[in-house]
Amino acid sequence: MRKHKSDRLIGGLAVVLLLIGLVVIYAIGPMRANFSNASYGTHFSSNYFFVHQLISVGISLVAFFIAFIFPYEKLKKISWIVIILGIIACFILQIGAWTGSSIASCQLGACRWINVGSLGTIQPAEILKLGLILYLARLIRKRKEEDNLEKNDFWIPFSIVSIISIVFVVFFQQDLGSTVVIVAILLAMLFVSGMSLGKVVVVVGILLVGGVISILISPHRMERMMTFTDSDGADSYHIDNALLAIGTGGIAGVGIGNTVQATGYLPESINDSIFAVMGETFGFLGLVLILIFFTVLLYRILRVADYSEEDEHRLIAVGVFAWIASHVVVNIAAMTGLIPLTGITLPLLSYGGTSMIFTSFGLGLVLQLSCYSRREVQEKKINKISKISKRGSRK
Amino acid sequence: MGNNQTFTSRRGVNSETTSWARGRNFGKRKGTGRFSYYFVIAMLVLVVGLIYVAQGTKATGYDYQISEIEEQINELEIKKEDLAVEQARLTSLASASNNKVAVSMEDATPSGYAE
Amino acid sequence: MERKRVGFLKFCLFAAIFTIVARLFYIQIIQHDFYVAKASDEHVHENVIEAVRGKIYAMDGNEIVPIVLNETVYTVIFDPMIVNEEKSKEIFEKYAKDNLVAEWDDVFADKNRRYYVVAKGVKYEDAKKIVDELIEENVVGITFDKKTKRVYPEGQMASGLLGFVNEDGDGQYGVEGSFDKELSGIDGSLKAVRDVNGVVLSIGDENIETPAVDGEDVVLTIDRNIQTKVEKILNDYIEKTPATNASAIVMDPRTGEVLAMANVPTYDPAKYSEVEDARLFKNYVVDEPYEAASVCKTFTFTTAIDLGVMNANTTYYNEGSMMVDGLTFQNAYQGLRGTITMQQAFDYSLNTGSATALKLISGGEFNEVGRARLYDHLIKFGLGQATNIELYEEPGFIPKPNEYDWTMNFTYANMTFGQGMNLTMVQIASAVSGIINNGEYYQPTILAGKMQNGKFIKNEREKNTKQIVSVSTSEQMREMLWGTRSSKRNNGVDKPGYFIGGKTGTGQVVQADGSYSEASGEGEMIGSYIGFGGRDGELPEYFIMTKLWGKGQYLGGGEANQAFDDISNYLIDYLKIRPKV
Repeated sequence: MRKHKSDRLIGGLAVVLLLIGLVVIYAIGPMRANFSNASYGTHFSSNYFFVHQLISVGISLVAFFIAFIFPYEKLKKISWIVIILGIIACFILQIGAWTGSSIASCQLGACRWINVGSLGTIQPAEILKLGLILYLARLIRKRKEEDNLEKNDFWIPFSIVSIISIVFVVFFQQDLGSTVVIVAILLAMLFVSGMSLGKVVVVVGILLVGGVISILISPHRMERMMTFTDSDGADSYHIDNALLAIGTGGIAGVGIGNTVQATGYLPESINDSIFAVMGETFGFLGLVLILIFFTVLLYRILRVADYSEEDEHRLIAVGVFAWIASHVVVNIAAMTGLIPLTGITLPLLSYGGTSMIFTSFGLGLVLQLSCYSRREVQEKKINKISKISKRGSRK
Repeated sequence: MGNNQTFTSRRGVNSETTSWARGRNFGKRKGTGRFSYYFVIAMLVLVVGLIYVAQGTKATGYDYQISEIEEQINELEIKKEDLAVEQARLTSLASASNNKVAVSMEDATPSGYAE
Repeated sequence: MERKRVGFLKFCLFAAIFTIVARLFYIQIIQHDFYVAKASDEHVHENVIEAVRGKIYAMDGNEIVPIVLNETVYTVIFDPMIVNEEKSKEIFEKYAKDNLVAEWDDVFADKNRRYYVVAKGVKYEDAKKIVDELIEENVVGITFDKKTKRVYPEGQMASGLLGFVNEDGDGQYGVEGSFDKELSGIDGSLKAVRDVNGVVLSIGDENIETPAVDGEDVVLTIDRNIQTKVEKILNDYIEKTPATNASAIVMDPRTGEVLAMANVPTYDPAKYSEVEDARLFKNYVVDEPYEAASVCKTFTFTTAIDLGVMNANTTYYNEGSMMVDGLTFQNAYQGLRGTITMQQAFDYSLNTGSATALKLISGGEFNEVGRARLYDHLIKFGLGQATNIELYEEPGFIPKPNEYDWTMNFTYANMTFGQGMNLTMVQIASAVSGIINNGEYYQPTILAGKMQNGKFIKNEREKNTKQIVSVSTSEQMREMLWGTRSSKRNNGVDKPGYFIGGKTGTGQVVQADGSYSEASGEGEMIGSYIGFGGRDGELPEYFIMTKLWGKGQYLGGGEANQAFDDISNYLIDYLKIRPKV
């Protein structure tokens, strides 16, 4: 495999987004701390959130770098460990939740985080997502080589892993958002795997049916759907305030430090709702800029997929694309009131270590893979050489 | 033609890329020079961003402090009020008449006047 | 083929982003104004900054002491729909048990209610402890409304004079009512952007603050020692006599300042809502004009002396009764027939004497000229009209010389001994004070001044004096009043070295049908007394008027007289008036 320089844009944009997130947290972290102290009797210092975000950014940059440097050829041999780790982590979390131990951090009946003492919390769902991408990439490529892609050799392991993941995330962790992300990852990777569209449609159908059934049997989820259009309840309060924040931003926003919604009206101002806060602060222009960053980032990832020669590379790139894109779309669509709230983070910008670190790892990996993409280089080289030879022949 | 132009390949200068074959364009990975260059720029941007933010949020940071101080003032005012009431009660006639000491004090009866 | 699929994903990406941008455009550009208005609604709140009600002070000798102050208390309101029943019950039972105004079962009976008043009058210290625990236990839905309550360290003293403050913060009756504007001050307001907890934010340029103007602190001329003593004396008298009510006013004739204004029985202004009989709120001294009977003979004789038509030794023939305009009136005391002096008539309170004085004023026979002269003097004395003391007053009523179509002479003859005209105690007190003060009349006042930043600012009154009689008249009247007290009739009880004078009045209540109630048994009687005192040889230092009323025969000027005696003796000691040796 020939290597060339990586795709700068991916690296640059990732860092830019991390920095933007840091700056915004610096602005509204103290507000969040004050609000929490006054309303819940906590004792956060003004800089608590910024410092933690800084630490997360630091670790993320390290993860990013490691993913970039550590050769994939070596990584893929142990990539199955990640998915196993993910499942084990989910398992531990669930045991903790059932026994009511303090290892499980729960909110409103759903336990999504593992408490690691002073280090904070870890979200097993994110490990699962990365693991799925790595595992499936290998699986699909192997089966393709063996020409077993549409046979049981593929379907069985695929189904086992998918179903276990979905069961954990949907039923035990009650995390509808992450479910959507996982489904998106699965579908995207299958879509690009080269298998016949018909089979993909069948999988989609099965997932849809499964999804509807799961909603119907869970009163909690039924309620969530119903209250989407309700004007009472915690959800619509959240959405109303998100819209209020975005709406008052206008064209250019109210300016740093002038956000009123973030002082306490808007729940989750530093994590899930950070997009709305940025809308209030930076306005339409600011949001469009952020969206441009994300769009370009995602497009470049797809480009890597496009120009990859290796199936595995393409699959990983598409997996990471689906991961990040679904997060972004689901988060922003919920903030703008287009879909119900699901409680997932905005990658790289939201306050929250696990998501940021693992996303950065994924991006670093894609960055590494971008070094191996061919086509563009080939074309450029052909042009360059023909230019040189043209010159030479003019004598 | 007779021009004796020698073409000196710049490739020869750089010891790492002396080969003339095609496709040999791995070059160095992004050199550490470039990396720290970008890092420094990123840090500068970050610092400028933070300073800008710090300016903007200076005032709002005091809001809760102001509120707390106002609450303290309110509390002290109420305490002052209560103390005034307490003092008035203690020195009132209504309580003094129950006070044994006050009762034994002179009932404003004259002890005679010198002329 | 894979390329095409990846291409499809690229398309999905752009489609999604485009949708989002369109949606953002809609929200941020097209609906921008709508959201700005909505945000303003939610974030900007205007709160009233309550003005602190002014305190009321009184005198204690030369010292100024507070007699009405404020206390901050809280009213607690629950939102039964969201309040945690168990925890809130526990916390409130612990800290505010005595302030509960509702039964717990009632409060939580209807979970759809959003508003229920659970406790009142919770002190700040308790409220603070409760709030701390509520935050710790994360109980929401409880509001604390700050209210101020009046506090009365002197208990029921001067309740009729002071009045009270109702739930809405408005002063009712008395000083609280008459001075309500000065005491209330002006509320301020704060319109500002607030966060979810109500904390004011410095964001935004719509913040407006209008500071509150606190009420003025008022200092009364009342001396609390005299007031308390007077109330005690009056209470003693309504206990040991058939009187059910009593009032008194003590003034300094040299300045018009009121040193005491008492009405008994009193009530507790802190518990005004528990009062069942609204008459307890009355300040009879200023708002109840009545027929003061024989004390008014003072005015008749003063007028006659001032006009030069008589003096204490002028004589006339007392027949025990007199007929005017075909109608007859009698003396209460049927003795002392024959030729007697005006002084004697005054001592024995003979109606024929005062009527004769009017005859003299009229030039010999009752006529319109005499009536007009008497009327003018009465008006000059400030009677039959408001005295402009700072309280709510009734003006009373004096018939004009031609008020009625018939029997004006008879009417006026009756007026000479205090019947047929209605006067308030404060009018009589001020008039007599002026008469005995060498004729210099001062407008009565209860306002000594204000307190500003802890300093006393004296109330500068316009020179409100007028000469209502000559100095000589004043002297003669003082002598007549002194004579009445020390006459055989009223075996003098006064200490030597002091010059004390006074006059009784026993009246009947005018019934609804215009007739007088019976002067015995079930009749309602009013006993009045006017008097003054001071060092012999100097102008009087104090003036007192007492009034007792109730049912029964043995109630009249005599009892009022005794009440005066007690007060007078007290004042001599309290004011440290040295006797002339």
